[in-house]
Amino acid sequence: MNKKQFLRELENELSLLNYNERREIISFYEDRFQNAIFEGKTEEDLINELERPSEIAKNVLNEYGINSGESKKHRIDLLSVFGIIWFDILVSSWLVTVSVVVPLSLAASWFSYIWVFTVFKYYSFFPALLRFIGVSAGYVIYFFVIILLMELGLKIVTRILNWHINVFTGDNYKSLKNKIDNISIFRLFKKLNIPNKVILITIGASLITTFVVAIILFYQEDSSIIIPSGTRSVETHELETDVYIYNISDSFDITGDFEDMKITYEVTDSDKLTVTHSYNYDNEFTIDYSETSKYLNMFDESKKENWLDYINWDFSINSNYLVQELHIEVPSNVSLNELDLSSVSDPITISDYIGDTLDIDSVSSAISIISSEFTNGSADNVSGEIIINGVATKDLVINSISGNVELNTISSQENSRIDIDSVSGNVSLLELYANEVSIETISGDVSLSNVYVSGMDIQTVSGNADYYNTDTSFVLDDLNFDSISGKFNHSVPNKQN
Amino acid sequence: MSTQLKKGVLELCVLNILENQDSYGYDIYQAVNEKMMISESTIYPILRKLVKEGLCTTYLKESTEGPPRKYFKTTEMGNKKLDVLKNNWINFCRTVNLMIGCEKG
Repeated sequence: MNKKQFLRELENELSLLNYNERREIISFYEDRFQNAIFEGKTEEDLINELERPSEIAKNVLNEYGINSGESKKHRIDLLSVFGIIWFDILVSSWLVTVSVVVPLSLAASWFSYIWVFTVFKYYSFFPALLRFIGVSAGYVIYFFVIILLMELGLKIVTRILNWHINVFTGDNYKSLKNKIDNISIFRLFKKLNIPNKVILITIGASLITTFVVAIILFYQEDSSIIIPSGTRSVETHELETDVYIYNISDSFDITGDFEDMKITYEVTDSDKLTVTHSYNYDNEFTIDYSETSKYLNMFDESKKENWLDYINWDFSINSNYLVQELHIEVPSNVSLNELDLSSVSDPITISDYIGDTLDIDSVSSAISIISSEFTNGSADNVSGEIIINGVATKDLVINSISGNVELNTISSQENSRIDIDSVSGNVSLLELYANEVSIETISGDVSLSNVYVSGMDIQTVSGNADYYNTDTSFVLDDLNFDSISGKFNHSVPNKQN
Repeated sequence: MSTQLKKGVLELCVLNILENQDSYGYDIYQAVNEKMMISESTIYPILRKLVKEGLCTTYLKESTEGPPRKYFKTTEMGNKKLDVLKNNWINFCRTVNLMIGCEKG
């Protein structure tokens, strides 16, 4: 037996004493060992000189009025079946929490630390060093808060245990209470007798490792290890030209809801249909193409196997984090029946579209349709402008609230009709040929120049209207102007007057 | 001398030793043990009890022939208590002596 064993055995034997009293008694013996070394005695010598730990404990406990033999008998009575069940439930539930949740939360905090770091690097308004220190300090605080929370949890559990123990009567429930009171993580560290150096080195090493990993991630150009949710890698799919043209001819539709996205539609000499989407990482975006209905849908679900066979699709992460773009390139030998695009705040540009139907919706972005041919067209906007230039159409419906509407060089077929509805946006028509034109505004002004139509109907509340044609020999069948306070200036002859 | 008898007067003896001179645990034990055989482990709880009741205080003192030791020292309250205990003991002895006929009243 050596000093350590002797003292440990003594501590065990004195377990019925509360912690402080036990420490006091043991400290006397610790002093004895220290003195013995100065006197040139070995630990063995002193232990032989001293009473056995069990004998010491018996004497000490007697002095404290505790009969050790009896107490041990009582302990079994005290912990009745109920007591044991309660004890087991409470202790095991706590242990499960500590052993599962705490390591998990520590791991999670590590990951979140790294994650926060990689995300923070996109926000360059804080200097790098400040970001690093800030996030690291937060992590360290988080770590200690977890330890403190664990300790708090233990304290609550011991309170509950004590409360239950009070229910039972027994001579030594007090000592059991003391034992429970002494449950503590910090005390456990002490009891394990791990040298402080080891603990410090472990904590230091893990913190340094974390920091180093964080720094490496921080300075890595491509954050491919930690990808924020929603990010995808670049995919490009291509197929033989003749196959897809055969499949998509005549009934190829584009329908979609492209929120906050800049949309460009373009007809090219290339023989591939190309859809390019550069997008923000948190915007889910997938495409669905049904071969049977020949219908291409773009919406928020991941079903892109079918259409990928026919379209060259390119996903890419834009280096500029905030801009989203959809670029559609259609081969000139492909005819689209219907084009239906919508956006919220980014501009839509359509050029060289030839098809039956064109339906464009937007909220605040500009819509521009250039050099296109279609039978039915509709453009809706709230505050963005609508510009249509160089278009041949049969029916065209335009709705706007505050955005201006500009139509330039519009030719139309037989029995064509153009309807324009605006609240405060101005309407301007230049070089337009159609059968019927109807314009309604509230406060928006109407300006018509070289508009050659057979029927013109203008209704405003306070908006003014101007109408001039270069060819003064042109006579309208029907010209109406209805307004409450708006004025109408025109020099266009019509059959009514 | 029986253990029960010794126990009753240990507190008195320890206080008496400490009133004369401050001392540390093992030294107190040796001083008591010289006169009457006791076990070391009975002395320590008594010292602890004296401190707890405020009859003694402790302090650390450097030593030339060893590590610093925890010295015990009586307080004013301890000294008063010692007087009371001493009187009690003398009266007790006299009563017992009278009862067993060793002394005549």
